[in-house]
Amino acid sequence: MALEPLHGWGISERLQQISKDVVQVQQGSLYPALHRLERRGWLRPKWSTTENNRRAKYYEITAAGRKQLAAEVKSWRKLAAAVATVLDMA
Amino acid sequence: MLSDLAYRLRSVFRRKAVEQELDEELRFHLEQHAAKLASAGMPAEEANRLARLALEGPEQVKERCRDERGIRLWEAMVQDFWQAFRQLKKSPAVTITIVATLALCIGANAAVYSIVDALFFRPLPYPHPKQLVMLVTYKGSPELDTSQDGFEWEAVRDHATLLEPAAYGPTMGTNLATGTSAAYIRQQRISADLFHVLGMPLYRGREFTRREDVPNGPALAIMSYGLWQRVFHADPKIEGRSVILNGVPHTVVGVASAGFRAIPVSDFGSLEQPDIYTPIQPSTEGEGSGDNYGVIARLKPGVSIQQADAQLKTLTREIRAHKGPLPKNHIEEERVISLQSGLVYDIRTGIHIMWTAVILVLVIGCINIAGLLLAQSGRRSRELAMRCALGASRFRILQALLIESMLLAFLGAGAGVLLGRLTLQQLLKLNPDQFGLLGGVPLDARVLLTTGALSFCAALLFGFFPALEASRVDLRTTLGEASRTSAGRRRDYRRHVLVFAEVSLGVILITSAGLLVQTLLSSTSPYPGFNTNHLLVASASLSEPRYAKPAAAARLFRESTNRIEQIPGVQAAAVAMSAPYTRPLNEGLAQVNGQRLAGGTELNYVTPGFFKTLGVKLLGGRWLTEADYSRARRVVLINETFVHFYLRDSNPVGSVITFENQQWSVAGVVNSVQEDNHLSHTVPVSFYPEVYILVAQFPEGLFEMANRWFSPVWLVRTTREDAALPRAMQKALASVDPRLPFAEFRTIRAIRAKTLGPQRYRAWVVSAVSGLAVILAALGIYGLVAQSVSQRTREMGIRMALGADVWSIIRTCTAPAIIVACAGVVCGLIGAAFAATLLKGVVWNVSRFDPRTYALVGVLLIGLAFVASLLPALRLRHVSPARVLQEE
Repeated sequence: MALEPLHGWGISERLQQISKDVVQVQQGSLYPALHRLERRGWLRPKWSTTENNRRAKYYEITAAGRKQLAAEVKSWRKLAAAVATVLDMA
Repeated sequence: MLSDLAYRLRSVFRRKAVEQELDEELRFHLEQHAAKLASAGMPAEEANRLARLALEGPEQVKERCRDERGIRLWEAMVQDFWQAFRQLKKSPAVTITIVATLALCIGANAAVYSIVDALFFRPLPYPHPKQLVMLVTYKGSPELDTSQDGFEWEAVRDHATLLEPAAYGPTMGTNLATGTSAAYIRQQRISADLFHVLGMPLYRGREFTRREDVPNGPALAIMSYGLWQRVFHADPKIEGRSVILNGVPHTVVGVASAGFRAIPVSDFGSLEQPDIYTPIQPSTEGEGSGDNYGVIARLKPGVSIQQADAQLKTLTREIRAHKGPLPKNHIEEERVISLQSGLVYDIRTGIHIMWTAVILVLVIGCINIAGLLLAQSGRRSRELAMRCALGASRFRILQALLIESMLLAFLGAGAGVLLGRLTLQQLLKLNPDQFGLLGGVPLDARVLLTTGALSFCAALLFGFFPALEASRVDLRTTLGEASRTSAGRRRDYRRHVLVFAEVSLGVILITSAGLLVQTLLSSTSPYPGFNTNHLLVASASLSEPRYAKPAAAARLFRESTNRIEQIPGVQAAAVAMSAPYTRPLNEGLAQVNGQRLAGGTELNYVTPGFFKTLGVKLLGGRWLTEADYSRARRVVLINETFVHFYLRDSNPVGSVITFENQQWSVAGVVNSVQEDNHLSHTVPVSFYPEVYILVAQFPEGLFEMANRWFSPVWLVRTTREDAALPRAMQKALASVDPRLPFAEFRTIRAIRAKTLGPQRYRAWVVSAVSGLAVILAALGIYGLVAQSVSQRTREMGIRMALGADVWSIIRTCTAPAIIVACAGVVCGLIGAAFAATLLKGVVWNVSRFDPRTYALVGVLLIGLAFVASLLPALRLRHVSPARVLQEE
């Protein structure tokens, strides 16, 4: 989504693809999460048509969303690195 | 932050659209997933099923998305609101009872609070009203004297450097000459700077100056805006013009602004707004030797009331030095209080009593409603348990029940405000003078806001405890009980406490009402000393140079009464300085047989026909006649009370009374006539020692002074009511003196009603309110027994089947309620004895601990408790044991 607007189905497909089925995002948890991000103002909803000419709700990342993403990525990397260090030491 | 709010608002107000979008979004997802599975060769039906499974149930997902909207609480409240509405509709009898109770209680509160607000809290109609104070004299007891004498005024005017003071007198009738005739207008005498102190600049012209405001100063006048418009047609050259007031030319120096409201002087004269102001020209003699001035002041910037008090304390000592030492054990101290509290000082007790009464009845109403809701929650415990079983949290149930209470409160408040409007109109009619002290008494947004807050508190009061009780649901027992309704010991115990409380409070109220009604009755019912039927009273101002001599006035009185007596339907006519039920002239320095009269006496000049016109009886001696005018010896009549006070041991006829350095001999004794009390703020009307003097023999100096304060009254006895009489009287008077207008035609009963106004409204309000309280208490008892009866019908049926007597069963059902009610009555009577302290100063002629009143209230309430508890219990007579056992 950081690259282009996507609809909910697309997001779930992409997630599965990218993580090569390692991360199984429960489809049922996806939509409440999207709605929460929308309410926080990190995603902006946009209704447009798919390649099959079907109306769908696309989510687009906002400036605030990008900032938040960067922060989250940074903190995740920190945590991951810390976990890796701990594991290496063991 | 902003996007969050926008999102929530959209969810609330565009709910449908948001729902639709959610539905479409999920449907798209399902279709895509199904299409993907189908393209891999899966049958369409199986693909759809798997897609739904993968999404973990679209409805559940929707519900979780809704949770993300952050408006759950709001939605729950809306839901509860409708649920509450349905619930209230389901039991209309209870709902109507509750709303009607609230409407009556809140209506009474809205009406009385309008008055309280107008008198105590609404800012006075002057700029910076917080700086305005009134000068009062503290005399040791808690009562303050709000009027001042000339010494006090001059000392404050000249030496109180922390204050900007001004003085004023009462509003009196005066004759304004207009061409050949005259108009009766209202005049108030005021000191220099009064307008400045109040912060109300004149519309045009200037105020009186300090140099003009001295004894024998120039005759000046300031007009009200209304008079200037009405009579002088807004004459632009009014300043410098001369107007004739009571026969004396006055030079106009200014016109007050249109919105100016004069300081009302509540205990004397008229409360209506003055038409013209003249300088008070104060002195320390004559009028100034007694407490005849009102003094107000504006605190200088930065000065507190305490600082002003401290300065006045030293000033008091200097005033005393002028007046001579105080009698032993007397305290006298000048102080200031805020102008607002000063203006309502004399009537505050009455208002406080009314206010307390309506708040108490609201509390009783709330207790009653709490009882009803508690009974209902018992009946609803199954429904609530079901909701709990379905997953509602305790908080959620509490919230639902409180919303029900709020809904009830606001329905009640709405009806109450409408009712309050009507009540307020009635209250204002009962006592228009005092309530309209400085303007109208509106039921406006201020009052509505307070009433709304009050209703909110009421809802919490009556809704919280029943809700707390009801939300404490024990699922297992409640649902397990099947169709049986539980008696619930705990709940019963609470309802008993509630009934006990409301009976106690009701007893306190009705006992107070009883004392107030007895006071009113004792003020009006005994023979007032004269015949009050068909007696018309009119006044005319005689404060004119041509009537300065008593002989001239006597001639006017004789001729005009003769003419009036010729009007058809008139039986008799007479003139006196003051009418019954009004304030008489007090003479404090009189002596009888050389003895100083300790309590002073009233003086009244009369025409010889006065006693016959009123129907006063002669108890000894002889009447006064016209013939006494010419006799050299001055004679007077005294009343019975005078004899009772001062001449109990000697023969009154022939006693010698001395005042104004002249001597009068007592020719006869007449019965006493009720008059307005003015000596203390206690009994409204009473009998005072009084001396009646023929006009022609009245001392000259005193006559002129008295006529400045009093407009003499013409009293006319007729055979029937006659609307044309005032005009005929005016014509008769004009034929004697065309420049003398009559004013203020009133029947003697109207005068009595005005004098007793405060008593009547107190008795009326407290009676109405306590009547309501007693009905509520009876309803409470009724409800308690009815509930116990319906809960125990089964038990009673079984007992009866086993051979119990129906009356013994009725006894079992009613006994607890009656015991509780009796305990409430006893407790209430004790409380009433304490509450009676608040009634100190408004209950007279009857002891505050009058055993008859207390006994009567006790018997009445216990009787009522019996009736209220027997009515529902008697239903048990029709219980058929067979049916009950069958149902079992």
